[in-house]
Amino acid sequence: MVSSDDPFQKLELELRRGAIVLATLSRLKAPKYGYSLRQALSAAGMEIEEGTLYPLLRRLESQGILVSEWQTGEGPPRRYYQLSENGHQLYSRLSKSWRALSDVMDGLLSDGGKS
Amino acid sequence: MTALEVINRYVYAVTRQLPASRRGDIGVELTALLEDEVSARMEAGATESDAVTSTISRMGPPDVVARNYHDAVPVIDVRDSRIFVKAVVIGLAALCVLAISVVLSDPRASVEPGFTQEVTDETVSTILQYLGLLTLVFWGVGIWRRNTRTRPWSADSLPAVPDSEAVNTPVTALAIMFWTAGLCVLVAGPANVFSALSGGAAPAALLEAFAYDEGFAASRAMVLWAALAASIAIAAWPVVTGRRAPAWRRVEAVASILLSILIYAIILAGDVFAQEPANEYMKLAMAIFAGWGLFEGIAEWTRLSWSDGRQSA
Repeated sequence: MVSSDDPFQKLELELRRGAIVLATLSRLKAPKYGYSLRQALSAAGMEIEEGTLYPLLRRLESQGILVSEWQTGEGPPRRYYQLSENGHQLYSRLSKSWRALSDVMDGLLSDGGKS
Repeated sequence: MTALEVINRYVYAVTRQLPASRRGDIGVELTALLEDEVSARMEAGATESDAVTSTISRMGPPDVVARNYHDAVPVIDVRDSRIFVKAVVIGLAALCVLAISVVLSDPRASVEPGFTQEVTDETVSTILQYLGLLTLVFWGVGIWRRNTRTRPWSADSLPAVPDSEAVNTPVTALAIMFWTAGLCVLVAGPANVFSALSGGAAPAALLEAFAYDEGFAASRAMVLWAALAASIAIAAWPVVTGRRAPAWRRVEAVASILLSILIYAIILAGDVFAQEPANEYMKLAMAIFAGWGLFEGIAEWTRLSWSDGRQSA
């Protein structure tokens, strides 16, 4: 059993925290509502807890990164989110940063801590 | 309880912790999302009861979910926390020293049974007001800073690293001279000094008011003057050497603590001046001086111990 004081859990949570935002933005070029977004992320291997993801959408919207609107078609009304204009620019910049960071980390991790 | 009732309760538990303007909208969305989650689990073969239990359980405690809807804004900025704690400790120490000094010096403390309690109540009330005001000020500073652009800076504008052993010789020398002059006045007796300064024309009432209590002058005064002189000598030594080494700072801290204890003992042993209110004010001043010296001595010793701990680590 993993203790709540286990440093792995805490550090892994910190590692994931930044990745969650970028992962969420990556799936919102087209409109999606909360549940469909979670499914899309889950299908890509990115499991995010509902209690984290749904409030995150609201926070990103309040920061002007996402825009949303209620849609009432068949079934219950749903709030659809997608990247705003600022969100698109931000996503593009964050993606570049992520790739650069990822390359650096790959290099650091692949030498097996030789230096 | 039906699935919808459980969902409604959960959504209520979350949204009641949100601002009223956002409750309705988030409530409707959260309800729809939870219903989607429950439906998906039921389609995968779970019973309604299991589906709702598992959905709620995965969402997490309502308190945590509600907190996730807010952008994290601290009341006290992390960068201010050190100075905030310092302001709290110094403020509380100053108020406690003042309260103890009033109780030790005011003649009403030994006559009126409720006086000490009254001072305690007033001190507690002042402490709470002080803490509230301090929190408000730091909160305001945090808001102001978050809404202000960071000032441009360069390497030249960085502050110099302070030398912890350096002595500000002119200021320390001036302080030593001031303390020595004060000690000379005390040793000669304020009444004698007034008389000398006025060329023997000082009013009799003034001289009587500042005449030492006989018991104090006969025994306790000598011990106090010797202790004060030793403390001044200890404080003056770094001016001669030009450095204030950690070992000497420890000596100063111990001297400050011992002097404070001695002053408290002298106050408790009896009067200093023969007449009130000069006696009361003198004891108040001595008690404040001793209280602050005690706090400073302990604080300095603690700082040095932490510093030693960091170096050995």
